[in-house]
Amino acid sequence: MKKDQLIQDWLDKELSTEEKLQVEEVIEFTERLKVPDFGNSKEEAWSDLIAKIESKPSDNLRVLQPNGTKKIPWLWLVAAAIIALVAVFGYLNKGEKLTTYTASDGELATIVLPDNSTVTLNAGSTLSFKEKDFEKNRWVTLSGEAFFDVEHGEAFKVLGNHSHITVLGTSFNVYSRSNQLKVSVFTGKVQVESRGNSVIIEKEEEAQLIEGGLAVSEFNLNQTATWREGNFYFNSEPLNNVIEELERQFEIEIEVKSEIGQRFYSGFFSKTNMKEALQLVFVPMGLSIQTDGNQVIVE
Amino acid sequence: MTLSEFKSIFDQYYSPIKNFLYYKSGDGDLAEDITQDVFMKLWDKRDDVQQETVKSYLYTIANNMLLNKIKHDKVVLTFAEKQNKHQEEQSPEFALEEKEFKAELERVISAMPEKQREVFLMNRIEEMTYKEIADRLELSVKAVEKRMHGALGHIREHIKYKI
Repeated sequence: MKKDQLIQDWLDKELSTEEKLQVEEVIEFTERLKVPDFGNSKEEAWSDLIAKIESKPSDNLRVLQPNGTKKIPWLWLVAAAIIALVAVFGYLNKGEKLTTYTASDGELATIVLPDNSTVTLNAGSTLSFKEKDFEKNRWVTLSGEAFFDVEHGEAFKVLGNHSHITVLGTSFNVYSRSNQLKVSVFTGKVQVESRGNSVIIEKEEEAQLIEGGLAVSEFNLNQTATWREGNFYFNSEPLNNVIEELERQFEIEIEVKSEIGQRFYSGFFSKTNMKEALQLVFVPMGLSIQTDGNQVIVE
Repeated sequence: MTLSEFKSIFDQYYSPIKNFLYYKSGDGDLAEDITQDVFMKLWDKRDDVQQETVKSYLYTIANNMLLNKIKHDKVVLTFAEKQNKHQEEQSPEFALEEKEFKAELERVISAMPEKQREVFLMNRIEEMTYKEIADRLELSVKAVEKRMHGALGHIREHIKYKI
C-alpha cells in the first residue's frame, strides 16, 4: 500500500491483526481503481467549451475566405476543391477578440496570421488566437494537427493539450490529439514543454510525449506532414491512430470488429482514392473491408 | 485572466472536477455536463476570480450546480481499473473472485455518506494529500481527516467479502 500515515495509524489503532489484513487489502485495491471514461475526451470538452464561448449572443460573427499566397503547396488543395474555410468567429469582450478556425473532417484550411506566419490545419483540427496585438503577443491554441511556418519576431507559442511549444521563427508540425503529442521540426529550433518536462529540438528532430517524459528522435522530412499534399505516411503508428486519420480524411465511420488495440501500422495512403487507401491499410494487416456508404466495417 | 491562463486551468482541473462530481453523483454524463457549465461560469467570471482562489472556486460552483440538479438519492458508482504494467498471469478463479470483490467494494463505496466518499476517493484514486483536499474544498485538514476516518470505519463495517 502507498504510504499514508493516517490510514496506517487508523489500522494500527482500531483493528485486530486479522481484521487489519482484510481492511488493508480493501484499501490497497482502491488504489487500482479509476473513474471510467464517459464518451467525451478532454480535448472534445475543450472544443465544445470554446464553441459555447463563441456562440454566446454578444458575439460578433463574420466569415473570411482563406488567402493562399504563401509557400504552401496550394495547387493540390485547390484542385481537389476540398478546402473549406470555415467560419471565423470573433469573440468580442473588453477588446479581447478570440478568433477560431476549424477544419472539419475531409477538409484542410490554411490561415495567415496577423504576423504573416501561416498555419495549415489538418482535418478535424481547431486553432484559436487573439488578433489584437498579435505581433507583440504571439500565441495560439491548437487542438488536432497543424503545420506552422512562423515568421521571425517575438516568441511564438502554441498551447496544446498539456503542452507548450515556443519558437522564434521556424517551421514545424504539431500533432496534438487526445493525450498524444508529437512535434516535428523542419527548420530552426523549437522548445517543447509538457507536464514539467522540456526539450529543445532542431531540424529533422521530433519530440513525442511518452510515459514519463518527452522522447526525441530523428524523422524523415519527406514523409512527415505530407498530409498537406494528401499523402499520409506511418511508421509503426498505433493502428487506431491510422483509422482515426482515415475517418477524418474521408468523412467515414470505421467500425472494427476485431481486437486491434496493440497493433501497429507502417505504410502509406493517399487521399485521392478511398477504396485504395482502405486496402493499403487493412489488407496488409490481414483484415477484410466492407463498405456501405460512409460506413466501413473491418474484421 | 487571459485565454491561455484559462486553458491551463482547464487542463489542470477538468478531470479532477469531473471526477469530483462523479464521486458525488455516480452519474458520468451529468458529471461531464456540469463540468462544462463550471468552466463556462469561470470564463464569464474570469475578471473577478483571483488566480489564488480559482481551485476552491471551481469546486464550490461544481458543488452548487450539482445541488441544483435533481436529487441523486441512490448513488451507484462503478470504476475501471488502472492499467497495470506488471500484471501477473491470473487463474480464471482468481479473476472471478477479483471481479466479485470489486463489485462488493463498489457497493460499499456507493453506500458511503457523500462527504466521506468524496474525500476518500480524492485521496485514494487521485492521490491527493489531505492538505490538497482541504484547500480545494475549503475545509480544515482536521475536518478532512475526520471524514477519512469515517470512510475507513464505513468500509470496515460494511465489507463482507473475504479474499
